[in-house]
Amino acid sequence: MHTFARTLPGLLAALLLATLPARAETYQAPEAFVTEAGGDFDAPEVLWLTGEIQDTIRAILGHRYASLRLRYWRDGDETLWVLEEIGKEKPITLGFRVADGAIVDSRTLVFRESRGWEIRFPGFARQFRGARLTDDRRLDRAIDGITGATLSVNAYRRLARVALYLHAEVSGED
Amino acid sequence: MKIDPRRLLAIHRAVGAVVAAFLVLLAITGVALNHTEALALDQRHLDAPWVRALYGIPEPEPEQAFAAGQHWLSNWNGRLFLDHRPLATESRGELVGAFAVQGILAVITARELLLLTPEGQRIDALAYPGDGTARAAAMRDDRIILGLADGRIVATNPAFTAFRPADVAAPAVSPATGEALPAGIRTAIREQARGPGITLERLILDLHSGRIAGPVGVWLMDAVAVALVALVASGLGQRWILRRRHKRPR
Repeated sequence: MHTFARTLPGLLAALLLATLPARAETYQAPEAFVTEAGGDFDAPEVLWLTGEIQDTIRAILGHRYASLRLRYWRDGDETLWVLEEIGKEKPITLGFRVADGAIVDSRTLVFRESRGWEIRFPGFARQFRGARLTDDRRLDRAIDGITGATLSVNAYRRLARVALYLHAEVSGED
Repeated sequence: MKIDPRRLLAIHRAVGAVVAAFLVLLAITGVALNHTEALALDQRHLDAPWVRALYGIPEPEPEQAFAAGQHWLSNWNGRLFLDHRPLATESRGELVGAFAVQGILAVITARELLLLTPEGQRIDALAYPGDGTARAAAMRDDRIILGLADGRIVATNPAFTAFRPADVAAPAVSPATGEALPAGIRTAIREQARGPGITLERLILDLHSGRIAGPVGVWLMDAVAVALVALVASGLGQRWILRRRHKRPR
């Protein structure tokens, strides 16, 4: 069969998929992320995002965090955060495990945008392992972007900084 | 068959009078469409009731509405409104119920429990255990009780930070038991929820093509185009007849 004829169904399927409306894709439920990391999902600690905390988050995200309260999970020096940030139009939910001021693990939990889902790949998330905050609250390393997923990558970077900042805040490491 | 020139002229004039009215319409709308950008026709929106009726655009209606203390929560195609103000948070699934509890608002959508300040700021959003879907809700003893789609019944803890299995009767409030939104709030939200309407360009384009009257209008415009060609033919025919008469020796 002609090459074009063979690839045509695939091309049409790709076009059809590209025109489908975005819907929430849960890669790992927040509950499962917390439980897998050893946290008790039903026994979170609570951090109210008021005053200086909200101001600092605003400096990192460029806007206030969407909620006034965050639930997080602590096990000794380790904290777990489930955070949301809008990539382009819809919130992306990410999970971060932080210990001793560095990211131990991070995951894309729920993705609701139509593009940029490639941030879910472990290879991308692996770049954040060991990342710390510098004095001016930036990541201490460069994170490689993904073509076509710039906004999602940027949202991931911002939330990584927020997770590290909040860990320092509740751990008194600042 | 011999055609009576006077009869042909009468038909030509009658058809011409009808077609002339459409020609004026086509000329005006055509000129306007040629200058869409200069006239900003694609920027001007029409939202008058007769336009909505003409295009069959329904008036937006709330999908569900619930009273919560002094406030009303309503879901308009996924957009949540607190009284007449839109919330920054979307409704994840249908609105199942809303309650005023401990000085805050608990808004139960199918996929998460939203905790709001009375001003509408999001305090927190809690997904349901096991990524469940809420079907019914109730408030008892300052706790939110939820009936999940898989038959489980869960309740919030006192701090509203987690759900626990609850051994209580199934809650009764569900999307089907929603209440009628007060007329004042409904009208105020409609103004925001109805969208910009159609552009003036669209209306003029549909006038030009006849689509404003549906398939019949398109056929009518086709008939006008055919009649116009027929008028040209009959006009040329009469001119030919008159020239022959003038040339014929008396």
